[in-house]
Amino acid sequence: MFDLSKISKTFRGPILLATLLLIALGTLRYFRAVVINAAKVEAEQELAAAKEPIQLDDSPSKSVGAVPDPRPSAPAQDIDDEAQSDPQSITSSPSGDIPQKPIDAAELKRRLEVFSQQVPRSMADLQTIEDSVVDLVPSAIAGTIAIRANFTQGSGVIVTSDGYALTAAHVAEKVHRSLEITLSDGRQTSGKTVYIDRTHDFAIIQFDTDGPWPAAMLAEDSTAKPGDWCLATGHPGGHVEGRPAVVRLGRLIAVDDDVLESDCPLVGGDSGGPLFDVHGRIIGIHSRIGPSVMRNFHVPIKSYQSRWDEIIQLAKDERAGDPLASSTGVAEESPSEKLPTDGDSDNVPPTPQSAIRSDDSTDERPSVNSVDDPPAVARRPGNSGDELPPLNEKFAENNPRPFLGLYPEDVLRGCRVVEILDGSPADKGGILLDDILMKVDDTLIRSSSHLSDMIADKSPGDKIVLTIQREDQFLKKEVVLGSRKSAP
Amino acid sequence: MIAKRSSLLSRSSLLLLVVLSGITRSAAANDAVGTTLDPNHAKNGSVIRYLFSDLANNVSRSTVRILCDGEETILGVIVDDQGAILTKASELKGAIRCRFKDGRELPARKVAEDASFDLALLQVDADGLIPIRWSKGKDPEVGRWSATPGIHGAPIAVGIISVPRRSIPAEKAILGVSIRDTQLGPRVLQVIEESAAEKAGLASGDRILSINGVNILSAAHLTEIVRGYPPETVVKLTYERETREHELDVTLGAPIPSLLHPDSNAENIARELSHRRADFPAVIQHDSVLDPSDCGGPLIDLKGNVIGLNIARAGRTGCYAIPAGELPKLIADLQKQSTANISTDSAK
Repeated sequence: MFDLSKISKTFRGPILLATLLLIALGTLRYFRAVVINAAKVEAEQELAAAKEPIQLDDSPSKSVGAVPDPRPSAPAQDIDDEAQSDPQSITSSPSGDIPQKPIDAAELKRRLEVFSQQVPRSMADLQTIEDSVVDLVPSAIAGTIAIRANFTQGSGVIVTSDGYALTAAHVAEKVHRSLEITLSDGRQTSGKTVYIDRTHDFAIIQFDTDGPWPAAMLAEDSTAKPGDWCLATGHPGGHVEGRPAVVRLGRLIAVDDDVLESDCPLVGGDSGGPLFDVHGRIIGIHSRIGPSVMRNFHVPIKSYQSRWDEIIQLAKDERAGDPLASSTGVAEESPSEKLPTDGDSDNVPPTPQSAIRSDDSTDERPSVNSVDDPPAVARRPGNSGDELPPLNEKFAENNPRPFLGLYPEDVLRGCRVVEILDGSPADKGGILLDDILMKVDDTLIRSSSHLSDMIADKSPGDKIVLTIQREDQFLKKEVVLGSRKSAP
Repeated sequence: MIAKRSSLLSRSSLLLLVVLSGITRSAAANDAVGTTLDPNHAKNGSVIRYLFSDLANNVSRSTVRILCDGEETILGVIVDDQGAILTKASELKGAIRCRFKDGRELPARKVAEDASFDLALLQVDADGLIPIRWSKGKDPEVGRWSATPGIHGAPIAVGIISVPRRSIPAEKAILGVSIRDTQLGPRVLQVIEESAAEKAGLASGDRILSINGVNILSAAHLTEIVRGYPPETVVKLTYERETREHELDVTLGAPIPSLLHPDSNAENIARELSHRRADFPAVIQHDSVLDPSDCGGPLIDLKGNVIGLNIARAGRTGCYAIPAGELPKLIADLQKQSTANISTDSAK
């Protein structure tokens, strides 16, 4: 999966020189990327130090300094971030489009408890599962598409509002293949295959028009485990006029690195459709079925995620007719061999654009990491120390980082505040313990790491509006971000 | 150039990290992989079905197991206290008996039929029967639990509503051959395994002459003629093989959804499905996996409301149920028909 030749290439250039020149280059984007990355790393390191005290110490003010995010390097979901940063996409994305019923804190807690049980114990538990599933269905259906290629019919799922979707390799057939696409609401469009990995049976397709399209979220971490409840959507038997995507409920039967197995019954035509977790995030893509109806196989989403950023860049380059990109083309078959545009571009005179592009990939690094790193490992201070060249850290030291000053924990609809630092911007802005943070400005918060990402993208002094749920009320709170250095 | 290098640098240090952490991960993952979900805990496992037992038992009193020539063929629903039982028509054959929850087993006869929904009304001579109470509410939302009670204990299967109410168009029959037009007429190029054509004995090279007396002019014409029939129709097919003309009775087939798994065999999947699984004016679809012989009975929700009558196992992934709201009128019509039939009988 991982290309060792890349690693050796890395060390070709003298690190110091490269970094100094980078700083000199100093495009705005790059500047941001470094700041964000460095901020994340430092946050992690401090977290490592702070974690224990925060858990043990009752007084938040004493519990070490500012920790914008207690979680490890935020899995920068650039896919969705792109979607979310586009205001149009927010209104068009299912989560933005479909009014969500307010859920009170007790219900939220109950749902999490029920889903974490080994097995439901009562009719009330089944009712809780049902209520959650009914809430998830509209957005799950909205993002699911029917795909018709030359020889096959299948399903897929939209993951960016500008029209990238995931499917199975055996549906997408081959790179450049023209596809007919039908959404569950009946809209039709066309697209093409931009990436194929037959080994893992996954593919990425791109719509011919920009949308906005209703995008589903990807699960940011690979914590899927046997027993997790899941929802499958797709078009069994191929697209049927007037039939929206078909919904099935099940549980994960077995989980390993290359495959998820569930009891969501699938059949031909479902291939390429999404498997959602109980948060409505895509955890897998339907791939194969076994001899028994109980056995259905899905490609875990991390197979896509680890390559996603690079692939999308390739596809964009190609669409823009960039000669640099077209020399490497869009990859097919073996990502580890074809993907290293980096290697190829070494032989091509760099252009200003190519520099920016590579900055993008710098930006995207954490997502590569977060996908393949189990959280437990990523939290280790040793690892985070290895993650970035020390020079970046030093660079960041001179640049204050935005600071919110609370400690969030993931819940079904965002994150819950479990700790607030006294005198922090969050404290001053009126955020209280147990508030559920739902939005930063207009962007729905998907997880605490997503929150941390969004904060890291801001600057000290920026004003943000947090939408929160407090008991059964929705409130908006203005918070002026502090800087890391001015934190208590 | 430099920027590229730098990004490579950071990326590769990451890759190193990933390689290292991968080791830890696979060690950790092994624990997880070793534990697969207990099948009793699966969505349709015994534990969850057991939770539905009380609700299912209530409805079981109004559910019957129908035996045709001694074989458990289908389920049925008691619709009045005079011995009227509603079931799926197309599965019935031979001598019909109904087995009740209380253990009684009584002979039944078909007194009325509705072809559009594939329903039949049976009559048994029994008293003390408890008729079913159809839900008067709206159709269930997609995502709601649904359970299929049998006549005893925990339900046969549980699932969720998968697709809201819609009509299912009639399936078009297929013969299962690929055809090439030649100067002498359409010739069989290839016979699809386990298709109607193969079962009837057609072979590559045969020239198709006519179906039910209609001379076949071309491949397109053949398709048009075959698709004019519903699946399971028996047609007379004439063909020429080695200059000799032959005639065959062919039972036309139904389209089988393409399969994902190379090991799964089309016939096995077809055997799991109801014969009549299309051409319904209104159904809701749920993801319970029912044997075709477990259709014909009630479908309940998490409150115990009877939300429909299972009318077909339609595919590997689900079943159709006639929405409860449709049934009172259909039953009333069937009862009228039956009264008319009875009076005609007695007039004779």
